[in-house]
Amino acid sequence: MPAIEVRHLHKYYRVHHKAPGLMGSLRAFFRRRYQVIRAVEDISFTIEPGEIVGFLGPNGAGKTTTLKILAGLLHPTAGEVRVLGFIPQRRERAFLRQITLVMGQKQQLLWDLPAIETFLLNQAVYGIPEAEFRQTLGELVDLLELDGLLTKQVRKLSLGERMKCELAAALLHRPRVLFLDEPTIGLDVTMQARIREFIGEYNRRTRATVLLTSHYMADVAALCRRVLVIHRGHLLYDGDLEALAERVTPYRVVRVTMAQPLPASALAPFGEVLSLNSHRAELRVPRARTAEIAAALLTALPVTDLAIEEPPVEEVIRRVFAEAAQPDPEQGLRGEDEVEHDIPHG
Amino acid sequence: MHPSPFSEWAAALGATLRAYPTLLRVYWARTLEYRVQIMIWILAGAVPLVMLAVWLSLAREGPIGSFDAGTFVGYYLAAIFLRRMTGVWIIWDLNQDIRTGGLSARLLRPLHPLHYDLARTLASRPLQALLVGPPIALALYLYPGPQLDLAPINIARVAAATFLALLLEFFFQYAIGLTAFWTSQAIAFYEVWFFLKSLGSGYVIPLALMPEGIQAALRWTPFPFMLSFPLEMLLGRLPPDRIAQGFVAQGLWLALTVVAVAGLWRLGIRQYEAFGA
Repeated sequence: MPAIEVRHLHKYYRVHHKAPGLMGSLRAFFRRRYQVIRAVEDISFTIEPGEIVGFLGPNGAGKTTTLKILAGLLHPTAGEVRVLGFIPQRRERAFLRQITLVMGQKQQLLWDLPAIETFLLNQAVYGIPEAEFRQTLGELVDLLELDGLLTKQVRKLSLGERMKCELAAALLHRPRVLFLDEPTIGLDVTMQARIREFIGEYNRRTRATVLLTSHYMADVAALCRRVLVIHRGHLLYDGDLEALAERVTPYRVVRVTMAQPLPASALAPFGEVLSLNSHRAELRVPRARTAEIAAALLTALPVTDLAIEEPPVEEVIRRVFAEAAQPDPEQGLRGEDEVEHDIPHG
Repeated sequence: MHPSPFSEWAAALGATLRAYPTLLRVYWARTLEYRVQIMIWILAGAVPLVMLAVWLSLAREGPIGSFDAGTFVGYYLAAIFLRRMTGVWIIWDLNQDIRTGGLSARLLRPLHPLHYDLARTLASRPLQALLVGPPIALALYLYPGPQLDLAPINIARVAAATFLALLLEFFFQYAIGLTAFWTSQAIAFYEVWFFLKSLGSGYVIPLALMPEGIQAALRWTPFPFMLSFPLEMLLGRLPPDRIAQGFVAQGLWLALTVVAVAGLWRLGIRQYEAFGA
């Protein structure tokens, strides 16, 4: 059984609009104008147990809405969702005990009390046996370096400290499915890296399934082999992060170090010169011709070192969204067999 | 994977009950963090003293209806204490949580969100009793007039009626708060409710001093059972048949509000949009 199954999921919101100013307010008082927001439209995907999947998309794409539906917070407008075989919005006890949703900016920690109180509350609410609780807490304290934080009032913790405590509170019941919505938002680079390592480690130790959204591509690149790309409620891509890079950025970056400084004109025949700094240069070359060009560079120029690199993930994602921003988003990535089935036809 | 509905329900109930001692302990700790709020409780709780002063000046000429000066003192001092024991302050948080998405964190946990509010409400009682009880008791002891029925059986009855009044207040407030799923006016509804309740529960004016017709009409509302009923019982002013009727009325209103809360919850949670969070 897959850990997560989503079939033809739709979620529409109704929001009301109000013109600015006093008259606008008055008009809205008597007659409301509503607009339907299609947050999620006909999304389908399946995630197997133990997978870590990155969920990518610009703000407002529908990522968080989808996560909230999967965690049982929102009722879908249409479509079918199963998580560990449960229908999330029924929020059965057995379901809630096995999942968690971490939202970067919202807290479950009791603000005025030390974090340990929230942990004890969760122990009672989830019915975690004492021995298991002690053991899990010990592991989390180690992994997240929580020593000394647990007895401090939550409101006196720094953002990073609080986020680590949030994460611990969300994992005390050892969930089998983790929904992480921007778990590293607002944290410094060191802390981001630590949380990222922790998520990877948790997945390895427990074989938990993880679905993660992040604005930080480093998070996604480090943790997820597979990504779902969503834009304006539509699923644009479902597959390997590397395959996506190959398709949308049909080039690679060749980094060369030369024995002596060369002018740009000497390098230009081999590819687009991205940067040139005395001995070092970066060239953009067509993906298919990478090997051929590298060989040519080595024979024609006094090259002492040469490295071939993938374009940065940010660039890949930017290109996906740029393509998707065409007038008809459904046409976005059409035309390639591997993604054809992921594109909504409705 | 899916056990029978009954066994699942029983398991959920058992788990809920097992969580309660910790819930109460944690919220007790939280209550103690709010020292300013505690002061406000004490100050706001003194409102009946103003009413008492007014009535005492009126009663100087002689008893008003069945109330003499001593009865007024007993009535309003006891009202201060019982109000502390039955007052509920959850609607603001509930309204806020529903409208801004704060409810989400609780919805994710395998315990109905109502229990956090109920535990918080219950956990604040001992401290309020401790702070307000002794001065009230002392005042009642020092002032010669008031007659209270302090027979153990009556104390037990008053305690039971007070607890039911607290639950009644809690579920009414919760039901009104749940309208926040549909409207941004939940607090406005509550203000209307609070105004009616202040008059109808005997908090401002003893119901026994109201015209007979109004008293009779009020008996068909939940208001008298949220304060006046335990209060008059404590003063020993209720005949046995009224006591029995009172408990029946409390039970019926409570059943009705619990059903209303369950229904509103089922409908409302479909509307929940988990904004922000």
